Amino acid sequence: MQKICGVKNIEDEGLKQMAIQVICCFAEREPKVFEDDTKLLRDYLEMILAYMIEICETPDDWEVPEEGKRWRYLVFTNCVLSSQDIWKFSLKRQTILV
Amino acid sequence: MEVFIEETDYSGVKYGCSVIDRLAGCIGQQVVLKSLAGIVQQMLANEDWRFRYIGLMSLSQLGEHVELNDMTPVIEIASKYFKDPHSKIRWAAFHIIGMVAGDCQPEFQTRFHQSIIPALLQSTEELVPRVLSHVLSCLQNFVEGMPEECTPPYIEPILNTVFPIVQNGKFKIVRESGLTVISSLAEASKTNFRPYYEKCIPYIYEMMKTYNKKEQKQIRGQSIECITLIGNAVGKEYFAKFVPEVVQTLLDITKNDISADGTDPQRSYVLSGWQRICVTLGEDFIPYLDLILPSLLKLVEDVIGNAPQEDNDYSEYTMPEEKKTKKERMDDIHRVNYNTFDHEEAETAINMILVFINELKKGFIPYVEKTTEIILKAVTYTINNNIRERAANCLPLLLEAVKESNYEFKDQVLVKMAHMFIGSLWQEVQKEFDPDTIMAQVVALRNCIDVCGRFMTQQELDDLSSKILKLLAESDKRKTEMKDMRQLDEDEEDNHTKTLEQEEEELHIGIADLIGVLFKTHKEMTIPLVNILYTQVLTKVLQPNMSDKLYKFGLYLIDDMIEFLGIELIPELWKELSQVIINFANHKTSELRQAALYGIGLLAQKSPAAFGDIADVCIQKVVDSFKIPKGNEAEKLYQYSLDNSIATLGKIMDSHSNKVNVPVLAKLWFTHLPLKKDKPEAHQQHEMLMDILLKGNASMLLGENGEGIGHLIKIIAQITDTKLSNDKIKAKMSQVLKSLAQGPTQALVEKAVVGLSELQKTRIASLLKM
Repeated sequence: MQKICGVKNIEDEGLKQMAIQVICCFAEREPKVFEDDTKLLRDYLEMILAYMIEICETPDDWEVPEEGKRWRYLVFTNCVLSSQDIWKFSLKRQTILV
Repeated sequence: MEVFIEETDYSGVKYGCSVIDRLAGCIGQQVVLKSLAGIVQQMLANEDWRFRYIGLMSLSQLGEHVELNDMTPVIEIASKYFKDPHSKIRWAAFHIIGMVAGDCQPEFQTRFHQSIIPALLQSTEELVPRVLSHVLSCLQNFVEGMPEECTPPYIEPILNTVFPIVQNGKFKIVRESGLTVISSLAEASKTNFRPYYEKCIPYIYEMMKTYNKKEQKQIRGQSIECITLIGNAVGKEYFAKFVPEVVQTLLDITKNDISADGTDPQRSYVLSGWQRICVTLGEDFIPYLDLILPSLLKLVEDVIGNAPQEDNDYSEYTMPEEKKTKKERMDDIHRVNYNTFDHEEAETAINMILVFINELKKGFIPYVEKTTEIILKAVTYTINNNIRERAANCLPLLLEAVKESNYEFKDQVLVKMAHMFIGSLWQEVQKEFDPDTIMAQVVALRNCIDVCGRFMTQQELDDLSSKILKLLAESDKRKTEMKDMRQLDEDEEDNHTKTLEQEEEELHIGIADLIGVLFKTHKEMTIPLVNILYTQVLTKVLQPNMSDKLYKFGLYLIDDMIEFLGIELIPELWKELSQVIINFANHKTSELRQAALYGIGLLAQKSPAAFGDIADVCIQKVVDSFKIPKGNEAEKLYQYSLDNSIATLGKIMDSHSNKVNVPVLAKLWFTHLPLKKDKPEAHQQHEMLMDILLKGNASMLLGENGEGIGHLIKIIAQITDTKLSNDKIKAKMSQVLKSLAQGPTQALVEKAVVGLSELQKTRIASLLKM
């Protein structure tokens, strides 16, 4: 899996995600393997972070999003919402009242 | 229809963060944080912004799993990057603060408000709109989790900084985020917002009234949210003068300005806005009900009225269970609902009706008949389980509305309605395929019976008991089948059937609650049911090697028998039931220990004479329960169990003061106070503590020389103005504190206050001023 993640210019980026996914599923089934082997855990974390760095980019209009378009951007809910969808985010407040 | 534009750069970051999140969940937060911290430290020193960005983003994910103390270095790291030259690094730094503010509230807010809020306000000078918007979202998250007492010093500075951004901001995303900060501030500061509401509302109302262009719909929706949250925070006396205009504008928006295609962002704001206004105005909302309710009822009626009937295409949903194979029944459970925009609308409408009934109670009476008619149809609405669930939730509230009314024949009407509701719910429970919906229906049944009290004849009760036992047996059968399937087809069905099995066990616990309410309301009439439960159910579920959930089900049943029937009605079972409770009191699973410890408290209260024989062993079990370490379960569950250990000691002392060594027990009890999670028990025990002190028994707890005063002050400071206290306890705490703060104990009180946090000092000061 490390080899897959290490390939430069891979045609399908999804393959790297799958490689990471395979190890994560294994860790969920056998957490003790990673708990006991800190080097293994560190290698795996480095593999994830390297993947994140590799595909990290900044779109041209990131700093000043074009007005009128409905962007999906990251807010503090671990999920992706648009600025126009913040109401879902603020449902927390609504549920207090219900 | 508008099209969403995805930001490509987030998919990978989001994926990576989610994997780290999963690792922290399965391997353990400490282990992951330790390894990650080392790598991130190196990344943060890298010149390439992408390394620093990903390093920070990976840390943002950990607050959910890690204690705040472990996150403190992460917060310090993030704060260093608030002024980084690269906009994405600044964004990521604020992202960490926003995430921790959500994950670790309110502890994070309580400990860091003095440094974080000024830093965030200063960061509003940010020039990049995307980052500025994130600063404001971060501030919103922070404010949202702030305890009310912390807010007063920040309301004015936040408004002075954020309001001009909302008024004059050049970018829509910045203005929208700014408005949400004001909403959260009003919500968090509650009545402390009163001095400022008159300045805010006119401008926000203007936005609500005049922003009618397509691109202004979102911010207009947020202005509705903001204005109704401010109203809710300041209270109806203050909000009243704006209500007619706000209500009229909301009606105008509803009628004229919301597009019918379901994509209009104003829609949800309008609907929740109505609910908030109803909650704020209480009875004063009744005159407006006529303007809103008929359209809601019509909406629900139109949706469920257009539903296909059971004998056509959808008949498969109601196929008799006995004709189905195991596989078909399993598939039923995961059958996809028909969930259209209309269904979501109807669900929201039912939810609004639910809020209206709950708030207005007898004020809802003129609409009970029509609402009952429509809601009962919705309870049986075959093709959408959310509608069925929501409708089931409404039924007990309709009964409550009738019960609280002055209607002449309300007792007869109540019984008639209860029979109708219970009949309808049972019919659905038997056909239902969605486990969550069955659970909602069982809870609704329980609540209907609880509202009506003792209303069934012996025959009716016996019939209901048989149905409950049948439901229990069916659930048990399904559970066994799933277990068998899991063993046969381990690879394919493992997680799926395991989840279904757990859902069945949850249902068992819901059924235990339903049976408990029958004990509570129909007392001696339930003895035949008790005998069946004892001989056929309890003996089975309490065998060795059963699951914790089944043990919990059994313990809940026993607790309810002890609590509601007492030794008088089941004398012959008392000894056996007591023994089961004692056996589980030191169980390694917190939830079981909690149920058993609660049961010991009940034994002490409900059988004064019989408890004498088992008092010593019970006390020993409670004492030992304090020594059981926390396992892998959530902190919350462990704390609930500890709370019940403390409460049980209190109950034993209170009920058997002449038979037990009160001074020794009292010392142990006092040392472990305060309770931290279990609200009802906390109220009882904290009030008991104050009563002991006020009745002149202070030296038993505080020592002859007042050596326990420090601990007492900590207890008071921790529980004041939290859910662990109430107005009555607060008044008593004030009395105790005032008497200790003068005379020879004054110095000890002052010394104890020095060691408290700022928030706690404010609480003590407010009690002394009362």
